[in-house]
Amino acid sequence: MSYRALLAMELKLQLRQPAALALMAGLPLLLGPGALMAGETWTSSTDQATHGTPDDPTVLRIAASDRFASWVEPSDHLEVVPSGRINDDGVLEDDEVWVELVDEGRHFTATRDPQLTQARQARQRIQAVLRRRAEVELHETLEAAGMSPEDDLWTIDTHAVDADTTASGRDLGKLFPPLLMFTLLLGAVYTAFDVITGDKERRTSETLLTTGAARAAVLAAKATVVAGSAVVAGTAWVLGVFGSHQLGLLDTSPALQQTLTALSPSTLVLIEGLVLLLGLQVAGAAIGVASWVDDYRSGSMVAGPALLLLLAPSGLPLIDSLELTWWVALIPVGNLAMAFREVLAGQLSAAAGVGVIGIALAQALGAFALGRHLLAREETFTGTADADGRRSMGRFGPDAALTFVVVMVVFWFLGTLAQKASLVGGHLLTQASFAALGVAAIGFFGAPWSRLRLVRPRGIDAALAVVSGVCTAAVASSIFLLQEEVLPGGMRFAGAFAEALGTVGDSLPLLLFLFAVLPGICEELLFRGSLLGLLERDLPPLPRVAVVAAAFAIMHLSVYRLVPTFFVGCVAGIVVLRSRSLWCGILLHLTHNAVSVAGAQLGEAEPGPWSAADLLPGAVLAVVLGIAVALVGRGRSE
Amino acid sequence: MPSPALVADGLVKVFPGPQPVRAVDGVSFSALPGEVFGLLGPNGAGKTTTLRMLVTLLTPDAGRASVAGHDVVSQPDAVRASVGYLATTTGVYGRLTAFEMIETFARIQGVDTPRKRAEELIERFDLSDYRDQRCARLSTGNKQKVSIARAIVHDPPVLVLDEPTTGLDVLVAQTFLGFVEEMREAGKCIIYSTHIMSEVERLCDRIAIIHGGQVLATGTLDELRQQTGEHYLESAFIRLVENSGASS
Repeated sequence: MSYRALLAMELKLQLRQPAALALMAGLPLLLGPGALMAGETWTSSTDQATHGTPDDPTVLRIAASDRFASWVEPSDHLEVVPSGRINDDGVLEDDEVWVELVDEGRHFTATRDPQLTQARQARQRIQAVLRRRAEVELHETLEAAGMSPEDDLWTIDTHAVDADTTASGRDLGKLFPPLLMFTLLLGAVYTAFDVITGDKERRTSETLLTTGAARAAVLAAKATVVAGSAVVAGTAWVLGVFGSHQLGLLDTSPALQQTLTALSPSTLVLIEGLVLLLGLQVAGAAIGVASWVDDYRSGSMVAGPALLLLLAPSGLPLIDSLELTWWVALIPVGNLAMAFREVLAGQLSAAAGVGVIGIALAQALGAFALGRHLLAREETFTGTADADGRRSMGRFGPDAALTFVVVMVVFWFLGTLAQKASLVGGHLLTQASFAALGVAAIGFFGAPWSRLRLVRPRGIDAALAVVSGVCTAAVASSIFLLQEEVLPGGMRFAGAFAEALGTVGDSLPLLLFLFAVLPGICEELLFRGSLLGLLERDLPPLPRVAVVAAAFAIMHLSVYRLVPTFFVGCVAGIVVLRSRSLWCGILLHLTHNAVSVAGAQLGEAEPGPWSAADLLPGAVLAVVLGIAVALVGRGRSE
Repeated sequence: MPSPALVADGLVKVFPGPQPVRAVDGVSFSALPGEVFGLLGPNGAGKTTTLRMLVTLLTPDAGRASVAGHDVVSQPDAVRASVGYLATTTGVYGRLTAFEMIETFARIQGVDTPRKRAEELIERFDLSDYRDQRCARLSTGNKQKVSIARAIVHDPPVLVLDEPTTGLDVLVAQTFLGFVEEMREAGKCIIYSTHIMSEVERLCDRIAIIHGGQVLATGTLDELRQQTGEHYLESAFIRLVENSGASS
């Protein structure tokens, strides 16, 4: 009886919180189509178009811009030759450069890099032409042979589409788990902090815990709400993904549509089961984290790193070579993420599925029990909560978390969309929003402007910052090389960066202004200026630098850039703290980007094999970097 | 003579840390049904920690205590069912209305007719005009009324009130003191923690003066006057605290 009353109360409290409702269901519902859009970009990099039959080698003429030639890797199967242009009616025109693809077998593959915005239209056009040709040829063949649509040719065509779906599903399976995990965290973390930390801060925990209700009932009601909100968030996200697909809200590729359409109801049930298990794991962890802290302010400081910690294993599916082995199945969160990938690719065996679900369930219950144990600690409800002079409701806590999430969503939708339409325009918009957010955050949270550290640096510190910028560029480049071993694709990504720069123009000063000066100022204002300053009283220097660098890395929205950007962020943070001037961070960032831009313009864009010798410059400059950073701020009179 | 409704016997609580704090150091007292027992002491004396042990929020490191015959360590659920606790803050849920707050806690406490009981208490505390207003929007006085209604919703035999008039204006505080007297008439055992001398003089049948985690003296107002040779409670209190400082 008590449990039901407690649960009803906790639910009522959550439902009366617009922010919680938005986080629990609203945002995930919107993030679903966003994930699909991301999936569209992601999967199109390896899309396969199919046509023809084994006995019928086909020569196709594909309309595309002259840049398309550089996206196609010539091989025995593909021949790139100048040709005419095919308009929407399939009529050849002769006023543009053409690409002719010769397929000796059943498939041909047109690859491109997802960073190139024009490629999407090119791919869609290729597929449209292929479909038209396939339909016409199929009908002609069927008529000529006197065959019905149920005959072999249809089977062959369907088979080709299946192969396409598997590849596309596997790609989706790499991307979706981290996005789902992020969504689950949105649902669980905020609710956990509200029902546990919030209860402590508002002093309602004492009210509740001095009733006749069993302590276990109090804990169970709170845990149910937290787990429930995680599952609601996850389910809303799944509904967002599949709902937008079903309703045809987004213009996604046929391969992606096939992938999602091919999912059977039982697979969807399985996905929802994974959401439930992940929700339990996240809820247990979130309750544990929320139980350790006494108020929102300190809670928000703990939630950030905890969130990253939980997100990390959900990125395991991104490692293409990693399979769902028994030891992978033991990694919490990672096991379910890997299972998710296999489910979407249609490759999860029943035995593996049962094994993963069993292990994950045990881990979820373990996390839950740990969370309950932590929640039941005496200190959880008393501790320092009644200490004199503590802050009132921390403005930085939930507000900052919400702001962060909103900015992420805005960035995700608007920034990506804008960059698709116009790389330069989108880039300018993104940078402007960074700078504005940095300045606005200081004002909003009422922090003194001095936290931005916009003071003139010593000449020696400025020079060391420039040296550090050059060195970080070299070291980050070595990190790119090294991570290629575990996360293939980074070098191709680097090549795409050079390609993207090429679409802007050949003017080096313009490129340096857009991609070095602008990010150097705008991004530093937000990260090493505003965020590093706002966290000043909440975290010691090094954890603060790490948290800000992590946010900096995530904001770049690329798994390939995560580690190198985190590294650059850490160096910039240390330099700013040691020099006590944001200008040093700006100089470092600017120099780093300038070297990268110049390198991309002048260097070899094509990825190739590398040896240990390639790491030597990075290793030497890493030593120089260490010395330079150590010298920053030395000998300064206090 | 009736048996005590509440007994504290040598309660000790030490908060660990680099420099452990012995917040409560051997506190003993007992209180009878129909009695208002005052815990009088300055800030940081150990009053709140003592009360928190009595309502099972904290576990004593040593000593024992019982409420309505139930041991606070071995029978915590039974203790909590027998006690109505009012903390130093109102502790109301801002997102619930006044009525919902009282009705919800009636359900949590297992009251048979929660709605009826909530309506009674809304009437009793003159909250009809604010019945459907969310607690966050109520004045401090009305929040405290809701909090009191919540604390007595299950009609407990023991009330533990921790500095209950803090933040209340004079009129609301007077109403509250009247309520405490009414509860005493109804036979409730009331533990009343405060540092306001006038409240103690008006309400408390017996008083324990607590300082530095220890009970310095226990007795009626007259007994404390006799012990210290001071007429006014404030003077008696200062004398006891000074003597304890001198002896320590």
